Amino acid sequence: MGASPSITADQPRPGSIYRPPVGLDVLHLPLLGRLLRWRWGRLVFQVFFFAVAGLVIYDGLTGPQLAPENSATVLAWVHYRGFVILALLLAGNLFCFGCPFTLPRTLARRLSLAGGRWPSPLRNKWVSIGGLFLIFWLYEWLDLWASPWLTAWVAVGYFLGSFVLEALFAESPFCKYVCPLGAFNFVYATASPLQIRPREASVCQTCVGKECVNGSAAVPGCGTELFVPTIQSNMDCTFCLDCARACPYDNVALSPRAPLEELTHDRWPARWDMVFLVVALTFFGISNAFGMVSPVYAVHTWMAQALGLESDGLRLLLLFGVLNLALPALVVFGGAGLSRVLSKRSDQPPLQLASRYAPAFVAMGFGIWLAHYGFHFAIAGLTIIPVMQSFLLDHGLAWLGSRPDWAMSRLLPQTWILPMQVTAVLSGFFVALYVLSRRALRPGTTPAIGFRELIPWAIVLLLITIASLSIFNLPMEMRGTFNIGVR
Amino acid sequence: MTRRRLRSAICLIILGLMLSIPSSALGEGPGTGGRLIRLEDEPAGPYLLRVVSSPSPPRVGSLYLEVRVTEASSGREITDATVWTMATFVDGEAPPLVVEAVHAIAPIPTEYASHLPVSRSGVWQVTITVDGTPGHGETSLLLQILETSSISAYLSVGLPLAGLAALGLIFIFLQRSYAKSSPRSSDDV
Repeated sequence: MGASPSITADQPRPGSIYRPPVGLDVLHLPLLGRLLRWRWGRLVFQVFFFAVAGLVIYDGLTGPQLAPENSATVLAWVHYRGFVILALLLAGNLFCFGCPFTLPRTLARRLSLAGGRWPSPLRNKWVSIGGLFLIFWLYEWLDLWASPWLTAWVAVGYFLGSFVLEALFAESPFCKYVCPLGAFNFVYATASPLQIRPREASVCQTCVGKECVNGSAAVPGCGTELFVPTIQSNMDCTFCLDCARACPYDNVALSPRAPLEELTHDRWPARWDMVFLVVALTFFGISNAFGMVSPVYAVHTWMAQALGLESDGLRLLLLFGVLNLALPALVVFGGAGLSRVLSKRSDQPPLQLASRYAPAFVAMGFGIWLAHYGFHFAIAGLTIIPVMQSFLLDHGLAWLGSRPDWAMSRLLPQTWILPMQVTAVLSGFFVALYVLSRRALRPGTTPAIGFRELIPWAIVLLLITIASLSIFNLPMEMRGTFNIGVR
Repeated sequence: MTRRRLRSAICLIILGLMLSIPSSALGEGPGTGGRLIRLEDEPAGPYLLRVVSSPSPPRVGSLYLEVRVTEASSGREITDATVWTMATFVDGEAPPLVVEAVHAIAPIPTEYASHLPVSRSGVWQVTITVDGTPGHGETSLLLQILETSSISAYLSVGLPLAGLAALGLIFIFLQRSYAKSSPRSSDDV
């Protein structure tokens, strides 16, 4: 093992931040709280998700290769995505809490080759952004949603990536700096209602060992090196609860916070990578939904004819490069520049302006992803029942019946789904406007200046809302069929 | 290199080699979004049919069917049959549709696919007929077709614009309140 993290003098001291008293503490709820604080509490959930991941890999590699008939594609692209977005909305980063990919860590740590630190130039979110771009590009190019076999290999890739990085480095760089799923969860957990915090700040002030981050003899400290008394954000928190288990004073709480507390308070780090990540994820949401509707085929056809791009992968690379990288960059730099010009305050650095208003995109992006992933979950949530019936029958087991009931599919009535999508997107937009206004109204600035600053961002959010609703208004197309002659 | 590091390096190399082993279990090609299995191994004469529809839900103008034909006696997939799909409106009057299902537009190349541009919402009876060397087979299923969805422009454009306008009004109000309490301010909206 390499150097263990430790608290140093340059980190904020415990107690320097005002903390409202902790009310409800999930870690002290009957039964659930005890389970979560139990040394092996996380393992229970990880073993469950590990079994699910094992099923995804096994069925994906060996089962039927029709996507709606295979648990790999149904679990990964319908249930995982639905679960993640609902968990983030209602509680927090529950997937990272039960993440199966980190389960082989113990083995990896024993194999640890060098135990070095993650390279300094990569200690940011740029690698995650690259990973997100790659996974969304592969998703469209290779039709991951339609291939149980490839879906299984994606799961294998996650296991391998986590294992190798854990073996090579002392900390947990995969979670904090690499994992695209983690990056998605971290960003939207900033809007989640639960957060880790100390029960009593004074206890942390007198704590000598700082076990929550340094670890105790029996329990490791925070894998992503967050120090509980200074945690102001769910960013980088995997909800692993190692801090709670390591704390000798039982002083760590998982408690609700005021709605949108993190997005509206001026705590967002002034970093280009963070700004770009939240803005780009919103555009990823649009482009991912855009890939499901018929106009995307018109774009493909145009690109093939006008640009001579015969390769599907190249066309998607160009399309996603524009939608997911160039447009977010334009929004970030253009928005900051326009804010500065309109507010007539040239002393404000562009990074400061961009990081001030970027959190609004968390709300907007959340609405778009909720509308998209919620659609798939609502329309096909029950498909897992006939899929499991079919899986068991294929293995000679009739535990769930002698014939798959393929009529089972919808989780919610059809007529509810579009209104719910519209509500999700519009809610995201209005919450984003609220976040913008709260961040614009701050001491030392008049409402007029604040309004001029937020105008460019509000207009971008308006355009994103209209574009998203237009996409969700279109029927999901029969992908892989209408682009004949283009592929 | 210590024994421990050597052992670790060997383990990682073995893992890498395992990943590089080529596999023949490739997927059967691109599929369609929102597919639903409607019939699974449904008897149709000498055949067993699997019928998959998309998108989900099927809407007016867009009903796509994929049909896999297997010989019931041998389980062999039949790829040289003639497959026709016919849609008849059950809930009222609408012209019936008869379309041949072909390999050319099937995401899985050994299957047959057809696009049925159903013209009305309601229940349609879809009949699939198969003619091949083993003989003639036919089966039917009922599908509920929905109207195309539509969001009013008032909702998708008007409401967000109204929200933005309301934000502007709130800031005008706040600025006026601020100006009253701080008369020396020269800022305006």
